[in-house]
Amino acid sequence: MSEPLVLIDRVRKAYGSGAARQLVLDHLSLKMEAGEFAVVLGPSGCGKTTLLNLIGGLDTPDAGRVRACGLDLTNASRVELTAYRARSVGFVFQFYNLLPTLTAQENVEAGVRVAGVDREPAREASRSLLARVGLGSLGDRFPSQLSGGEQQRVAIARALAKQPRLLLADEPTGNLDEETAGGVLDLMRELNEETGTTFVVVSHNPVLARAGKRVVRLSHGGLAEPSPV
Amino acid sequence: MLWRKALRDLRAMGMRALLIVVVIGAGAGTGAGISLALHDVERTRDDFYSEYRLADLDVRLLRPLAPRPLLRRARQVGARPAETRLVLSGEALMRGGAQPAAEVVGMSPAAVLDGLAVTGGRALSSAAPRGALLDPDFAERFHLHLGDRLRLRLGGRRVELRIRGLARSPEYLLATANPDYLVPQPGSLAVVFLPRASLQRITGLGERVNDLVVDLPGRRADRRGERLAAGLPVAALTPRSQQYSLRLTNADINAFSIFAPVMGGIFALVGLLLIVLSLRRLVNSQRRELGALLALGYPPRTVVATVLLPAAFLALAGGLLAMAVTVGVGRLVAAEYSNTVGFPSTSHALAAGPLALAAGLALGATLLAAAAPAYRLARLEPTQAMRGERFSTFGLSGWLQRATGLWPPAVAYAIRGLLRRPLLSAATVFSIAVAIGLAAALNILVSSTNSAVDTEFAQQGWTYSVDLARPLPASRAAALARRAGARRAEATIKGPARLRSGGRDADVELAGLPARPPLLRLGLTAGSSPAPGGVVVSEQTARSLRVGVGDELEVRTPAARTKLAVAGIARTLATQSTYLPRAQASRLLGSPGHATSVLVAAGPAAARRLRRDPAVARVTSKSSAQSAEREMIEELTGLISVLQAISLGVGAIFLVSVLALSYLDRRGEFATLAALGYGRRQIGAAVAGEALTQTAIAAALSIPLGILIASPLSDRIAQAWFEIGLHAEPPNFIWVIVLALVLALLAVAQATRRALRIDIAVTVRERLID
Repeated sequence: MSEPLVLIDRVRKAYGSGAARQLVLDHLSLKMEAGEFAVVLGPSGCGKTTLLNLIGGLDTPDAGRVRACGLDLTNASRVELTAYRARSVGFVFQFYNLLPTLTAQENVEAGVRVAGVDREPAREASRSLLARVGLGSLGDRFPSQLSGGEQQRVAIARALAKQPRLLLADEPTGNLDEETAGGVLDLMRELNEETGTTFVVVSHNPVLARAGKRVVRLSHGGLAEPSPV
Repeated sequence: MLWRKALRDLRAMGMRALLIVVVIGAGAGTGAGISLALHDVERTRDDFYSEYRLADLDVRLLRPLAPRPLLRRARQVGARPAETRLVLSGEALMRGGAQPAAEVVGMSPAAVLDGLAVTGGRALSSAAPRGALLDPDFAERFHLHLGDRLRLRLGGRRVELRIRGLARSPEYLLATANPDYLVPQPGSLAVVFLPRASLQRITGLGERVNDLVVDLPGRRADRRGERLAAGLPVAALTPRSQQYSLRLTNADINAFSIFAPVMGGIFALVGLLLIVLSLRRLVNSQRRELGALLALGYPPRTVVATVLLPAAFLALAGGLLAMAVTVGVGRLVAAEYSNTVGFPSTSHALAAGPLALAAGLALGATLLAAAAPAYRLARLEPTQAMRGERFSTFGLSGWLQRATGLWPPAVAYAIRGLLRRPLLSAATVFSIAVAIGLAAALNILVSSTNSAVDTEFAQQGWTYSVDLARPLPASRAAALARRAGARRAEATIKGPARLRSGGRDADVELAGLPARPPLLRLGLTAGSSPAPGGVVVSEQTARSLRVGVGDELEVRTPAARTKLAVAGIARTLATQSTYLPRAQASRLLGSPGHATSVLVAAGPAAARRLRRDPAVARVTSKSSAQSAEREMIEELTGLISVLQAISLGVGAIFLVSVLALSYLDRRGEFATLAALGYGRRQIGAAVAGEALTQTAIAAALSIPLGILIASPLSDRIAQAWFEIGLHAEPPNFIWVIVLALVLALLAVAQATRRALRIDIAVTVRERLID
């Protein structure tokens, strides 16, 4: 049996110390397979973002093990984690996190070049992804010249342009109006179908559940209900 | 509520608050520190000259006389105290054949006037007749130590002494073999202090003395001094104000006092600029929050107060730091300056003026810098304010976008980082350029001074200057030199005089030259050579008397008074010299037809023969004078190095602060780059690209700025010392720029380390664009 793309094994994570110590994830175990579109739901403070950060190699657990794309993130070196983020994972943030002094096209390119792709292929991939997310004509604009929805689509293009195995999105629609949010979700679903990239989307909004092939509900540091594996 | 918010805002600012305090402290404190240094230096000078009691008047005689009649004369003119000394010129006989000029002062071990500041070993004692005290600069230059033997030649006699101690006196604080030149040559003259009775015994002069030093308390000291000297065979009459060391110290401090406001002003200007920009940046970062307060119904004055309260805390902390920086910089510069001049110790005081200036600058600039943007924000509509400001309008013209887009994303990001806040980038570049430019300007001044000295000596035809033990008829003096083997000899006479024009006085040294002197060449900048009835004055004398060619001067000497015209003006290092025909000068100085020195064009063998001649007191070679002059300038570079270090240090503080503030503003972006997979090298390159680009632009800008800063400073040196012209050379800039780049790299390393220590998981959740 092949290894799952993401394996979370009895992970514990707490913040703070002493009386202020807060246990965020408590013996959480979870598996995700390639090509999945998983939506992680739960109230604020239940550990959704922490889970995403652990999968993305941005944070390390206090106990337990996290494996993703064949790499043991728990014991990986900083260089390995950097390479993992550069090649295997794409991030979409709630506030888009586009670099304000780079144009839309350059922002997408910045996500590709870091994976070791040469300039011309990177440019081609960026153009093509921007066109795919409906922003082909806005590549020369700076982020401040784009609307929130457009910025989020640039962020999705940036995350996908390097063809990662895993795309992690933290409240990708949290900052958008309902209609724009719907458009962004539809786009992510389509891209999941087209590219086979695994999507893990975190949100507190139950409406997003309709977008996921699989829904994971978190509560008080653990799964709220058994998650189908 | 406001208080609580202010304190919490400060705590939330953390490192940013600390950096702003550093910018305020360094900006306001450095300029004031230089002002405090000036205060300390003046105090050091006053303390030294009053503690060791520089005499009001020094009467040097042409030949030794019995002391009692001299002291009686002194009492008659109300001199109190009055002391007699025996001062003889000669040479020190060093190992290796060097024969530097020496001056042996035979004085009472209990002398009150022109007292000795013993810096090493023991004081003078009648019980140790051969125990001499030596000038520390000379001892250092010739590697002499306590207990070493010191061999001298005094008027043809060889004398051997033992070094008992090291000492300076106010009279010989800046001892020099060539008092004609205003620039001193530390270590060029062996100043030896010996008990008077010992020197009298060694030289066989009995009880006779040739020097009388007195204080002249009360009014009309000038007149009483003249009465004291009248009828005596006076070689030199030196009032306190004309005493070489004091005159030079004053000229030097005058130059420093002119430097200080220029340098302090530059630092203060750059500091103010950065304080304004840092505070503006701080206030604008709170824009959204202030908009919310407006929306909640708080009146604009409350909004302004919300900003001003934390700014006041920053200003207070910055003011305290500025005062500490003032004291630190002041003490550092004053100590280095005192060391360069040779004061045995430095007097420090917490002068209220510079401290108040530092605190006032810090408080005033910070509060004003915070109030202006806060007031502007408070006048906005709440919705406008709440929209935030960060990079909301970032855009580039097409060509700039294309040009910067040619680079890899990390590099393009770095270059555009500079364009993001063009005003701040420009101010940072300007500040660094000023810091580099100021350091380079100081280099330019040193090399220009060296060049002026070299040019002056190169144009002279003499190779040795021979001081006679007593005045001789001019023809005999020249013959004496020719007999010794000199190719050419030029007998001259020197003596003190006072020039007066339009109610202004200048104490000078008359130098009588033969007609068309072949060896002493005057660098005339106006008019013509000395002629009967016409004198040539230095540019400095012309400036202080405000006279030009053709103007009339009154010339007074202890022996005569007359009126002469200004025939010409010369550029010379001997700024006190006034040249006129020898016949006229000798009459005015009371020794008609005589000479007191001879300039010769001769080789070393002739110089050796001259040194053995009992009629010769001292022989100084041009090359030793020139090299000593250069050594002195090199010593001055100690002080210059401190000023340069301060300049570059302040530049580095600004660069580090600006980079760190910039990093704090962009933590979210660095976190995003890290989340995208950018590693240490690439993020480091982005930070370094930005800092090094700024430093490189600043380095280019520092070249014209350095010349611009050096220009007024060289004018100031000309006023205080002598004309140096301005010779900017590539090496003046190169090492400063290299050092600035190294400092920039260190700053980059620090900023990169911070960028890489970011908690990515937390920071990526910050909003980058509003």
